[in-house]
Amino acid sequence: MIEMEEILNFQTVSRSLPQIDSIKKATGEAKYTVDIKLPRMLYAKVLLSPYAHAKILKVDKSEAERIPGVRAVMTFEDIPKVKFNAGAKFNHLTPLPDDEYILNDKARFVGDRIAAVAAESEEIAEGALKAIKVVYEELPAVFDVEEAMKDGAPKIHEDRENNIVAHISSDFGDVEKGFKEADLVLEDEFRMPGQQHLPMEPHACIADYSSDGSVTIWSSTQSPFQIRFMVARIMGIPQDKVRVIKPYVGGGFGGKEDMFDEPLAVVLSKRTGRPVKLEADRKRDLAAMSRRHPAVVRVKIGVKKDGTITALQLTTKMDAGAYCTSSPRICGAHGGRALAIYRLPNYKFDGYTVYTNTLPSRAFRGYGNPQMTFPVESMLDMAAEKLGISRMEIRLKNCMQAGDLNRLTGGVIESCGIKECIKRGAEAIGWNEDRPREIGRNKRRGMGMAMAAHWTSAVPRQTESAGAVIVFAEDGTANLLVGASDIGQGSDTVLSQIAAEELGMELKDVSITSADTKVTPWDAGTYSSKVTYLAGNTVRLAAADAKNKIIQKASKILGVHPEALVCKDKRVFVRTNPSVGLTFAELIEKLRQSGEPQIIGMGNYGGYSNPPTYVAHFAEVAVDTETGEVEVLRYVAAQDAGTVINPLLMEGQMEGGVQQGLGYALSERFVYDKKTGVILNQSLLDYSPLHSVDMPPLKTIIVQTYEPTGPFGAKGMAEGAFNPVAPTIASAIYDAVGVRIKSLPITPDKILAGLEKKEMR
Amino acid sequence: MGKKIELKVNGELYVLEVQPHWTLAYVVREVLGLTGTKVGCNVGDCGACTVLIDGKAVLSCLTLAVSASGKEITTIEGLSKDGKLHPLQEAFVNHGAIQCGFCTPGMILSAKSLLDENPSPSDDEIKEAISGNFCRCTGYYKIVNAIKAASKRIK
Repeated sequence: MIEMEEILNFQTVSRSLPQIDSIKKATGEAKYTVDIKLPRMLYAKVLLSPYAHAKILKVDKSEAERIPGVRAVMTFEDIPKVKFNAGAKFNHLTPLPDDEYILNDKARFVGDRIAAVAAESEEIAEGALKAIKVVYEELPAVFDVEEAMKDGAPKIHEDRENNIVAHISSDFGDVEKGFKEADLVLEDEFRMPGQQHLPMEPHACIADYSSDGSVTIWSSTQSPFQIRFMVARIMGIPQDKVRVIKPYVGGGFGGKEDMFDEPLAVVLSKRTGRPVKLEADRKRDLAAMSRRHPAVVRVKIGVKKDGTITALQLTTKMDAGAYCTSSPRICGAHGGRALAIYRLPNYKFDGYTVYTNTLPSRAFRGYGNPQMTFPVESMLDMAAEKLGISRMEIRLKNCMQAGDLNRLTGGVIESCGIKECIKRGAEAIGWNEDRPREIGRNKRRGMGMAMAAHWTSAVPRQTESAGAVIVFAEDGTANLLVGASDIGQGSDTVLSQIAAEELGMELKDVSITSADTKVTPWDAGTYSSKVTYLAGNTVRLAAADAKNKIIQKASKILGVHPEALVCKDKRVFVRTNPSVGLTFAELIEKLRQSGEPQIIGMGNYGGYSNPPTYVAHFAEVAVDTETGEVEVLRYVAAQDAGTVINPLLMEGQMEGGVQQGLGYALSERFVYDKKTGVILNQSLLDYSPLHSVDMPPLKTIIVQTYEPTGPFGAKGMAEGAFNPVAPTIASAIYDAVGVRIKSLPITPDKILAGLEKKEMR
Repeated sequence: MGKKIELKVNGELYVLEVQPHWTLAYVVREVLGLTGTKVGCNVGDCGACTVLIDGKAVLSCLTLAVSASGKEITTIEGLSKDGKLHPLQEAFVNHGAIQCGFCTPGMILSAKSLLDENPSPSDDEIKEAISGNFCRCTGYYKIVNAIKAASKRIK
């Protein structure tokens, strides 16, 4: 591979630098929303429905209101009657259905918001919840996506037949023709469960409503501008009166993309005239806020003898849960995911998003991609076996390459490192080595692989832009203002690196102010793996604008042609004679003395291209044929994200992606009481995510390419790091014991059942 | 009914009146304002609230403040000395072991408790020592590297 670093001679970009705020995080100084305490602040708690589906006949809050220290008790009667969709980001051309209120007048899942209390302490608030008397009339409920679609199923929202929120379809070519041309046609069904985001900091917000009709909100969110948009709409106030500040955020992964309790905190603050903090406890956060969409996916694939795919058809039923949120968009994105990774001549997708009486599904790292990647990768393995070709060969035969049509944008795939990912990943795991199958008693070894791609942003389905401004202090240091939210992934660092690189400054001379709706330019939010790419391009443009202004001014002062000047280390000087120049501080002082405009760099970037990141994963597992236990012996993750702005942070994303992916593959799931719809494993330990001792040895491989549309050649990557984990593990398990598991998570009971079935054959 | 307790936190003595059911996590965060100690679950599952009591890692959300009376408590704020980071803090920063940072204080204090007892832990011993500290961002790899690096520096 060409080392772009050498060609472009980067100073700050492409270097493994710690997050710029990691010292504050290491010392405990970093303030998260949950850490903020305002004078006279009240604490709010929400009364959640104990029933999955129920009419609310009567709410008596009088006893709760009489409790000393209780300052407000609110129910449906007390709130603005504005229906909203918590996933709406801005005025879309195709709006999502508005189907919920701040507090609902009907319970649609166990955990639905029914009433709220603001009190002098959390303890008093919690006590007051118990004193609210609600008379419910239980309704028949439905918890399964296919049951919910049947005629006669309980109706969750009045205006939706068979509980179908939306049917999305897309196609190109002719799948029927493609299946006819195929030598082998396979069809099968796959089931994937919900998955919890489990951010370490639970959802939390504080609202401080002022008598002048303005409000300030601190929120643990990925999308402050979305909250501003929604709160302004619900409260009927102008957007400039809503200030949303994103403090440090303790993880998001998509789970903090939507709006949550913010408007509820606002109405409580307005009612009481005091700041109100509303923090979800872990139990509510885990079981009543958000999850990945459970899905049933039917795949039909046609392949030639040599492995060439002739047609792919997907039919998906996605469980939206009790409220729509952005489910139709996620389902649509799910349908488009396969197009980024495989050359498909004929393609058809039908996706149904369906209401059930379960907790709302929302964006989660992958945004529909994992629900496509697990089925399609598994089908490719099955096809390869039937055709007698290798799992790697069938993938190499069909994978995208640079120069191919980008089906999403109609443009061209300009950078694609998938073959290099496969090659280097295979080498690292020892794909072609012949190792003994049996390890000790009852244990069999197997290897698996899978690949995936992930778009960088939602362009062109959704046009997204981001703005950035750079201002300078008198000493020549710079402050970068960007709307993008750092939620722990390190975008503040990466964006500062990009600004520093463009301006020839050191990273320590650039600071950043991000995600404050009153201060920073608009940004759609942190999602779609797009911040490095979209906000990165924006920041680079802002920095270039500032640099241009610096050079133009210096050119006049120094009397040299602008093209002879360069910027480095807070100084502008003649390239061929560095002694002729000005420090930024001197230039700024001269501009001040002469009354000339300050140096302010501005950038705006509206995405038009959408280059995918490419990923290949490999795993070696040992399966215990007595117990069905799977041990991941080794894991290799290889990924192409164009120029890597910060390899240390990219590795961190790759490692975290594997951790979350292994949880999705092997252990994480909600266990429901089938009668009541109550989630039985409502604690972090019972939900079974992976801990330090569960992690296998992992090798990460960064494959560097160059994406011409990205900032310094960069693409997005964080979601891609998650997508291929589950099919990689499933592939390895099949290789070990010959059992094909078509539902997640792959628990020991499923493997044992598969082994038993195999023996009976 | 309040109860009078004496807590020595990060070397400073506090005489406090607390409710008997208040947890140490609550007192540290809400009464003393030391918000570096995080609460991720409040039921002892996540380890974010880990502090040191007399040098040992303890879940402060499961510890009643009254039971900590008279003891020496170290929170994350007490780890750096004279503006100089503790080698563990430095290693966490330099090895990229910090993403969202919410698990970091508890993770560092669990690691300190380990290194005080076992200055040269193996990778497995490190993983075991932080197995009660949940992290959703990192996959723990860089955390283990950081603790290993710090152990070499402290020696």
